[in-house]
Amino acid sequence: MDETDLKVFIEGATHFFSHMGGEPAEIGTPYLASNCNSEVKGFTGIIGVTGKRRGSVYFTAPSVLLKVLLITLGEENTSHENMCDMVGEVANVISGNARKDFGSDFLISVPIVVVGRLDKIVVPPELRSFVVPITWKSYDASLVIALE
Amino acid sequence: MSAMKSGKYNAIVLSIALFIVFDAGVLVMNFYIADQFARDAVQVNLAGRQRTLSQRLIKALLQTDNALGSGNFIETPLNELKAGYRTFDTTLNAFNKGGTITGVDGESVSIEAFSDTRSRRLLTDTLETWLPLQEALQPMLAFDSKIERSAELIMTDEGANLESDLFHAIMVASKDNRDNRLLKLTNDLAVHLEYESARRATRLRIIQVTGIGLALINFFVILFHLIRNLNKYDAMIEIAKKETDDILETVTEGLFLLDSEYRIGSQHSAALQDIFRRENLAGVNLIELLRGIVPETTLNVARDYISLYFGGRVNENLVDDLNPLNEVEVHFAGDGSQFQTRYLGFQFRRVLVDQELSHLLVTVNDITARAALERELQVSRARSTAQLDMLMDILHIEPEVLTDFLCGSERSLGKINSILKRSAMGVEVYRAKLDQIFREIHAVKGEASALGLNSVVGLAHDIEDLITDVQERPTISGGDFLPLTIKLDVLLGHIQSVRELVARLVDFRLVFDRSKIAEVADDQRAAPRTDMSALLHNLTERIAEEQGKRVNLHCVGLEGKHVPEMYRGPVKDMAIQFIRNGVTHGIEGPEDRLVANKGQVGRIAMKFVPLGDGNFEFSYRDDGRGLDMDLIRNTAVDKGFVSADQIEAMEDRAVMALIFKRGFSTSTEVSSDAGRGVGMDVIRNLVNELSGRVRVSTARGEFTQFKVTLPAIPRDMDQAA
Repeated sequence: MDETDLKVFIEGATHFFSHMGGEPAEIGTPYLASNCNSEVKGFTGIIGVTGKRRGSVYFTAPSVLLKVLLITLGEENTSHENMCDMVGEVANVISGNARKDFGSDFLISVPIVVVGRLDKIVVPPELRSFVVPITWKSYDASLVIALE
Repeated sequence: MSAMKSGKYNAIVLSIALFIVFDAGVLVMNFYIADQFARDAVQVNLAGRQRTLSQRLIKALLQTDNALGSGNFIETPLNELKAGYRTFDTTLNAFNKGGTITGVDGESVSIEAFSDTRSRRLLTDTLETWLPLQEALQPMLAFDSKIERSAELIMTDEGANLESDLFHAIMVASKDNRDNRLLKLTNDLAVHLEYESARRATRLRIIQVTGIGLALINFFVILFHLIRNLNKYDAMIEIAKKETDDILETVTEGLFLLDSEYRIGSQHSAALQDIFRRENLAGVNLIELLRGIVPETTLNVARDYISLYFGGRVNENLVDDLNPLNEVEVHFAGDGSQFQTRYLGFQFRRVLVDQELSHLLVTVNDITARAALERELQVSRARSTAQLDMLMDILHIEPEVLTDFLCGSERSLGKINSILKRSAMGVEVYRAKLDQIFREIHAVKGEASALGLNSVVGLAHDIEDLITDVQERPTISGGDFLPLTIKLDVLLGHIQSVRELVARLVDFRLVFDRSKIAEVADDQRAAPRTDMSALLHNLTERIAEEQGKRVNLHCVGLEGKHVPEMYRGPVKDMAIQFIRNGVTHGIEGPEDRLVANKGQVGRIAMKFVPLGDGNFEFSYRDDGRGLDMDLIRNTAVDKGFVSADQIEAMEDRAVMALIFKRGFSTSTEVSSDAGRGVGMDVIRNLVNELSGRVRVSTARGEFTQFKVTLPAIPRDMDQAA
């Protein structure tokens, strides 16, 4: 896995919080995970990546973070739907950043949102994912990068 | 093709030609007879006039005579007689010989002499009948009709002569008139002409009806022929279309025509829709179709390549050879956000019409199975090559020892990952994490080095470099760990690869050994599977050789199962660190040893013994140069572990304890075996983790000794072990 490629996704996430969240998010020490479901925190926005590298990138966050984020953005309605939209929006920003930085060698999918376990998501079991802990206003989220 | 076409249309062309001929024939005949009809009409009219004139002449003759006799003016009847005569005579002459005369409408008309027998005969009879009257009328014609009064005229000779001539003429006319011969003849002539005219009209109608009938028959023949042919060709087209449809429905390839605007033609195989997972492909731009399922670079390549085909100058075979689209990776949106990757092979052929490039015939195949197999083969080949290199690295190591190492390493790397996963943040926490990771990785490196696993040593060394680099930064963030995590992933992957290779080797050896199994002695089979001392001997030899030294290692209690299971790992790790330190720093080179009145070969003794109180003692001793207390003091001050004042106040015992500090090394160079100042730190941590103690004793120029005391193992744990 290439450090530059990983950074593109991480920067996408931090960029979101710096510009939309009012204060920057802090990145914890990245680690490896062989089971993506163990990293799921409730709401997950997923983007598919293919081309030079293939796999998936997830932004997963607990509902509390999404609620605070919604309120920070001026949205008082912290309904389930709005939280889904919020996590999808973060994934969208990550995806947009990746599209911009990776240019023409990659295809980046439109994000989808999954609540709870990622049952339908197929990640090769031999593929270890990089998990980047993200802490924003003391709430924890994770960016999971599972690319071949 | 054109010959077939002309054959197909010959009958139609012939039929249409006949239709035109028939119509033209009827038309020409029509014109001819219409002209004849007009002539007949003139003749009939003139003949009718003759009939009337024949009566009017007699009437004018009698009126003239009556006027003369009664003394009235004769001018009017005489002039009428004259006019009637002239008209009758000229008309009769014209009937006989042809000529131009005044018609019934006062216009000049040109008529031909009668030619048919019946007309000629009637005319001859009329002329014969007319001749006596004509002669008898000559005196009246010559008489000057402008004499004013008739009463006077009769008195004159002229009048008397005229009366006489009139009388004669009346006699001639009366003679003739008795059987109305002239009237009858002129009437017969008129009737005959009328009859002729009617006959012609009937003939014309017959011709017209026949011509039109033939034209109609011809028209129906054409129509029948056309419909039959159209039906035939429709049926042929239907069959051809059905065949084409069957082919397009059945063929497994995507087939279509592509125009110069990259548009797909209206006809394409059904498989194309399956291949592109989309319907209604007719007229769709191929580049747009590919957009979204291939990266932009592939899209540009496709556009450029296809344009080569439309640039007619380029040789088709040459372009075929260069085809970058014979294996295109496409990605369809699958379930969720996942892409489904397929491989498509495109082939292009130019379609020429009249030597001009019209379209490209494009064949698309889903070659996913083949491409996947090829890729698998490539990966497998690459893995085999990598494993071959790896094989050289591990061939000298006993598989059991190696497996032992790999399991231990995976545990260590798992531990490192757990350290990374701990969620605490902050610079100090990060530094502590780096220290812990360093110790773990250093232990892995040590053992790998002992086994001569250079690839693992290299990767572990890289991780150490990364840690050292991050440690030196004034502030540390979580993101700084990213390269470290990436390297950890690489090392884990590498260890997994080695594991796979070892598994294969073991399998291979089992098969190989089966043939010789009878030869294997029982005692050999009973031999211990892992031997720590062998590992340590190897390590000692390798490092000594690298350092240009000669060292003899003597191990006691490290063979077989003397070391309890629970302590086996830590003791091995400690032994490795002791040897790496001892050979690198303790044992002198052969020449120095000679100068110091020692044997060229250095000695290291390691011993693991149970103590009477249930505890264990693991000791290390070398006959090297001993610890250089001054060097340790200076290094400690230089590296900032203690201040100059503090060191002055410290006893030797405390100074010696400094060598266990993390990062303490008296070496000026960093090698894969020593120099980072971590080895002693690893030992201290292991001892601490096991709740043991370590003591150091040394004599300058004589020896260095470490004694590690490990506590007794609780009974239940011992049994578990």
